[in-house]
Amino acid sequence: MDRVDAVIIGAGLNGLTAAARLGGAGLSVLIVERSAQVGGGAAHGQPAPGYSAPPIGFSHGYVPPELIREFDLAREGLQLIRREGGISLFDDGSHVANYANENVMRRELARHSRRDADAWPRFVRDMKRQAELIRQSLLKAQEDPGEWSLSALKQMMSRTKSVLQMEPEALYDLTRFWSLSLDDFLEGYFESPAVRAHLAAPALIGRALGPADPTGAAFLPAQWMTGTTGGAPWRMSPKGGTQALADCLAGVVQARGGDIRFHAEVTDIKMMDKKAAGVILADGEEIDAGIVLSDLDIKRSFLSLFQWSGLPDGFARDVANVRMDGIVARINFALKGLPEINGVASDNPALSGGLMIGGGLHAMERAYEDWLDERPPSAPLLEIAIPTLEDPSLAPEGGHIFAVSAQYIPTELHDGVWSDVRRKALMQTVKDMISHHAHGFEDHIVAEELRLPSDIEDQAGYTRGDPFLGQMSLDQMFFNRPVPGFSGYESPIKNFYVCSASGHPAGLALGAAGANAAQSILGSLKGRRS
Amino acid sequence: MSDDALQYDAIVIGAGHNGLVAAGYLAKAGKNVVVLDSAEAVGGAAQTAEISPDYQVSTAAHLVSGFPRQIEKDLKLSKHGLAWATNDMATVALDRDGKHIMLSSSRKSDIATLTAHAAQDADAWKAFEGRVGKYVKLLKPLLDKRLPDVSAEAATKAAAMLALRLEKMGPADLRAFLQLVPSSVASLLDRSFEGDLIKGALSLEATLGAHAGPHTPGTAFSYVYKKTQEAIGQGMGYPVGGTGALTEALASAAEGLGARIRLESPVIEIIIEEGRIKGVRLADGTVFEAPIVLSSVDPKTTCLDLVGARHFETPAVTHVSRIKMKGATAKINLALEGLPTFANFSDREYGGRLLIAPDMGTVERSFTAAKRGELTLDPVMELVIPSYHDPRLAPMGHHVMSIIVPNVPFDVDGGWDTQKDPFVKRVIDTISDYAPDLSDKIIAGEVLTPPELEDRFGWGNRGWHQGNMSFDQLLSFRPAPGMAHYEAGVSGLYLCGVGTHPGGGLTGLPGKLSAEAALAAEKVS
Repeated sequence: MDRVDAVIIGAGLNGLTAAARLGGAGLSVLIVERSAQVGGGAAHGQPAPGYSAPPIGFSHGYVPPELIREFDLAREGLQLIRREGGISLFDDGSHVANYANENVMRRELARHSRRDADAWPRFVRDMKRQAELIRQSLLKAQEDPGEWSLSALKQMMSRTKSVLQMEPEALYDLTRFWSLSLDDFLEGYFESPAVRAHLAAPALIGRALGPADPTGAAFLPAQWMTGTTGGAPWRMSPKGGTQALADCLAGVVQARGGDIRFHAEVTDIKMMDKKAAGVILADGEEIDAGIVLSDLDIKRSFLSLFQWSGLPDGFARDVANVRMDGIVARINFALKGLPEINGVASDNPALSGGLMIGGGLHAMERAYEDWLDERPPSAPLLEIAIPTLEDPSLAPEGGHIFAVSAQYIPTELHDGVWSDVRRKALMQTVKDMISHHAHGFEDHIVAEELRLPSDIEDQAGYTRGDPFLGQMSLDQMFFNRPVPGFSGYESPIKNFYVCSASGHPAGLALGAAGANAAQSILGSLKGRRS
Repeated sequence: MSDDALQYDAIVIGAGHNGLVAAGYLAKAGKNVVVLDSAEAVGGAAQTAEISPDYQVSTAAHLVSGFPRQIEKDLKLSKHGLAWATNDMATVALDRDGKHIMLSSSRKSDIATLTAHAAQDADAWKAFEGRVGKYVKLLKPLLDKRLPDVSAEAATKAAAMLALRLEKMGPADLRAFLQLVPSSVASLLDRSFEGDLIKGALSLEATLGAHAGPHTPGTAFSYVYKKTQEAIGQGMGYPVGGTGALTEALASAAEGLGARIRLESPVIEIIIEEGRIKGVRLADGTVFEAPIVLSSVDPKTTCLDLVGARHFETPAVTHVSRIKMKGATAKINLALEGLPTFANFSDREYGGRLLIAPDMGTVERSFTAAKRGELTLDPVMELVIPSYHDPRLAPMGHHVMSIIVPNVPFDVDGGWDTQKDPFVKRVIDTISDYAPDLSDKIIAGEVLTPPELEDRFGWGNRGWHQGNMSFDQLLSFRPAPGMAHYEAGVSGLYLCGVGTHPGGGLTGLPGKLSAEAALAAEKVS
């Protein structure tokens, strides 16, 4: 093949959705992928024969229904499984569980505090309201507030006006929502420390933030985008895991005339007249293309991999300044059976939402402080997905997977390297924490695998192992993502676009950044033609 | 007016700087005012006292930054003895090897001090200061007067004004500003500078007195907010005679205008009758009556303890009881028999505001330790040598040093009884890294741990600001939504302390603006 309309570096979920959208608009598309499979971080591996789990990525994520419809993924065989529940286990033997049914959920909360049970509907209302606002922004390119035109000025004025005209109470609530810590915000609803810790933990995973840090609350509603009937929100995840989603998307790309080449590592960008004009592969082969898209993180796209000439000075600095922090270690346990959890019946429906172990908010704060100090936390926060409960196809008969995201694991240590001894110590800490709640847990283990942030950087190419390809803090979200002035997926290099999760909306929705990048390309092509 | 008069036009609770400023403005407008305070002397946290005979120091707050010249003029403070020992202090980031950095000035020689640590930081500083200057301009009109009451009709005009002012900054600075607002100061500084020392010093400036570390989101904005306050006050410095001289001048001015100040008069109740202010009751039962009461006591205590929750609407009680006050600090004052020797110090350095914060990690670790109830191994601090500008504070050739140590836990592991000495030793040792002969020169000292500061000034565990300066407690939400115009929700009751807009520091603005609000409301009715 000598020339395509668009070449995409990387067959991660965002590379695939970008390709699918561009292909659907009639462009000839080629994805070049370094590895032998699609999915990138979403790709599954085999922790043991017959077991399937993603070694790098999270085992769940929000897939916007708009994309499922647009790509007709159901016809490609995508089945979504609804996972309800989620249980936080505490050291004193107590637990808080999620239930989708409002009455059951309130009864569960009432075990901890009657007042909290009464506060629940107010919390649900507020979460749903914010989640809807965030959901509406997912599939839109963010406008650059620095861009000045008459219409931009008018819009700025009308926005400012609408803020100034808000009811003072409403503005106060909004300010609290965007600025408070998880701890302070949840205290406005719930008195039970266990309930607060239970609700806060999922909003921390992957983010370099402690529960007492301001702006933490803004990420609570992310889990509420899927749906709820008044109880806790549920999650929809693809049958067969994120790999199945990637496979379906690859099917769409191919059905739309796109190609995927494996074992094809891009070593440089081909430039012509200071514009991107294709890619150069490791074996020297050149692929010409009208547009080049990168599904790599923004630092790799601009600073590490390619020999750019003429990258504007300020832009290179802004990219270098994007905060990328590894904070999650991924651990998969292949289990020969489901261990018994203390105090939780094995048929409790809330189990399929997984387990959360991390103690109270104070313990989480301590783990965060350890992370800041670059030392292995004595008790990390563990989010344990058990995908096999609703999807037995992921393990042999009777087997299960504990897909653990261990939060607050530093990329580097202040006093040396992540030696084998320290890796083993971390694994033992995690196993001990689980065993505390599930006696005999270790006897169930068939195989185990650990990926530290530094391993994730080496294997998946995420700078510093940042699971979101750029921290999801408010100064790096929305119009500030990936860097101020470039929130529209374009770059200062003509015809070169970043379509990875380094762009908006990052980890909030799987595949959305890629689809948005494609949309922005199609928009500018249309502009050029007319 | 007789000394035992019990009826006034207005009562001010608290003879700290804001209470005195409020009393001054009210008296100036012809009101018959009494100021009541439980202490034996005026000044609140701005007092000068002896450490030992002939050595005087500002006991708690030791710098004035953000006190507007307008208040000085309005209340004729210079006539009442206020003179500035200095109001142009340089901030100095101390370096162990003597390569100190001079900040907060645009002198060429100062900027050059940055290059000793990182070649590009001198240029970066110019850009940084320029940018911060623009943000200061944007915020200033919001901080030096009462907040506008935005009605639906006024919103369009206000929105147009704000949008135009944002546009005036230009696209690059506007983008940077919108990114700065939710940032941590660590992110802001990492984006701007290379050198560890400048980042350490600026992150200490941004977080000093707050319950926050360099990585806490929102601290970048705190830095800009502080710079705006400094700009309103036209510099940083201290009066001849220490911060106590400022409050003494304020007291003298208020009295000169006819106000009465009654000390050792603790108010235990604000009396409400039929939904209106009637007066206040002292601990000994004495009742003072007035249709207007201004309280410089923190809003939470004022509303919930002095007035009582039953006199407020439910949402107001919820909002007020939610006010967060955190940020423990310790104060150490030393009497010295000579000037300690800091390497490469000239006049400007000795007379400056000295910051010990070698890098952001050290600042962050001190915050982490405080959260855990521990004492950090490497304390960070702000210190001044007031006698350098004001020799009368100490005998000839002798000096006083005033040290604020942030991030010191209120309840320290092991208790203050056993931890006080090791704590002081650690602070002195740390300063000795920069001035090795310090301990030889110490004649006497005074240590105020957070519990002691709490006892004496009420801010040991609650921060200096009667409410954290966080987004949910700033501007129209300070001290609480619906109270940003100083009216506390009970007819005739006003809040005038640092817990109200524009908040923190020795600025006097809350006192001035609340007095104006009280006078304006009277005119309307």
